Amino acid sequence: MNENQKTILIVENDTILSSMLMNALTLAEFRVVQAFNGVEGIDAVHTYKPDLMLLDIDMPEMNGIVMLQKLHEEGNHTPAIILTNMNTPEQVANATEEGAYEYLVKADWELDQIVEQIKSKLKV
Amino acid sequence: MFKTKNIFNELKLGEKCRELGVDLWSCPRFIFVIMGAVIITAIVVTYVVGQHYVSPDAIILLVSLLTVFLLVVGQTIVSAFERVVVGRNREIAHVKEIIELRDQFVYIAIHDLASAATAMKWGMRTLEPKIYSHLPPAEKELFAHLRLRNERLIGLSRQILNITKLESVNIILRNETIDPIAFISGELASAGRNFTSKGVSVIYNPPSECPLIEIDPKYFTDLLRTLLNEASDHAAKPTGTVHIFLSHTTDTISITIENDGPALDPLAQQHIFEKLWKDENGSRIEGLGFGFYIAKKITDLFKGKISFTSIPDHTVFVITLPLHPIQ
Repeated sequence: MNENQKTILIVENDTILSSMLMNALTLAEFRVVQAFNGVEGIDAVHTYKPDLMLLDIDMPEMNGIVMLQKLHEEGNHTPAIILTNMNTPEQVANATEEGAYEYLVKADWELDQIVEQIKSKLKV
Repeated sequence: MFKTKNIFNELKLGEKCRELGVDLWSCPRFIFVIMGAVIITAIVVTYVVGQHYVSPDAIILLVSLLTVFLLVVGQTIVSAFERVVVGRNREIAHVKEIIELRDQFVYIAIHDLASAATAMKWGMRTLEPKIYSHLPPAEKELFAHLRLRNERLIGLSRQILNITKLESVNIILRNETIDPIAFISGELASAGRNFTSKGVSVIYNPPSECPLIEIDPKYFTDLLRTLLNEASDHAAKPTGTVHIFLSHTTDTISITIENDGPALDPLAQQHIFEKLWKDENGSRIEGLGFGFYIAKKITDLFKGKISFTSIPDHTVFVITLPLHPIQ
């Protein structure tokens, strides 16, 4: 494994979207880890120490905002991009308050544009 | 006599009480008329009694009884008012609850719809380079149509979400201080591919400097995207141009968005800011859906102004926004 390879954690319960994101990021030479809810997401952060997280909001068991809150409570400030679809104004506000790196609406972006955003955030 | 009749006609007691949804004896207007009649009668009776019974005790007793009676009538009127107000508050709370439930339903439905449309969008983009070149022309056209329809579905979802947010009972503006020159540049950069796919070139002419504006960036984004999207949809075909200008005064900024498409339908111009306006035959005018309605609602939310002119090859929308929020 390339030591400079950056690790991206995708926390997304929609398996199709998650797979497509994973393929696009793998092609862009990122190491990709998947989690399908907030609980799995926290475990994955502890295990893989990602350089950046792509977080959905609406997920079973634990949503993305609560996951961010819990990580912040334990002092973990891994950069996060909220990648979700057309949520309520409150959810957007909560995500911003929790210090999400950026808030992207999935439907507005093509996969390659998301990869470019991640590269620019990580200065790759 | 004529005047008395007019007064009673004007009072429209039964009609007004029905409007309030209360029975006659709980209707403040009716009880007020009754109280008036009682007071007049009481004054007359007091006067007549006073003429015939000179005993101060009898007068004191009569006035005391009258006072108690008027207090009871007064209390009845106040209770009637309270019943009406409580009933109204309950109704308002119920309507709010229904609106909130509707909003929640819309948010969930739009979220799921948008997720499915995103999967289609990303899936088609992933498959395109692998299969597109092998497709016969008719299927290539079908592929392009599918992409276009999917984008429309995403656009419609976004518009419905925006309308729901704007018509919600609790709109909270989270203002931030932003540089309008950079903000518009950023929006144009993210909308770049959308313009290219529609064959539209964008020319942005910002001034060398512009004061900062205190505004909610999310709603400002929605406003710019909506107007830019409408401008690119209405620009000349197959290749058109959209010009964006930014100017300012000491208190406001003005954003001008201009396209070179055909003039808007004259009838549409009259109803451009109405939601889903239909003509007298019940037909909708192409392009007159949600977009301009959303733009107007957001501009109103910012206490700004929106205006337009439309002649062939030149349709211009101008939004003027205050630099600082107006309470």
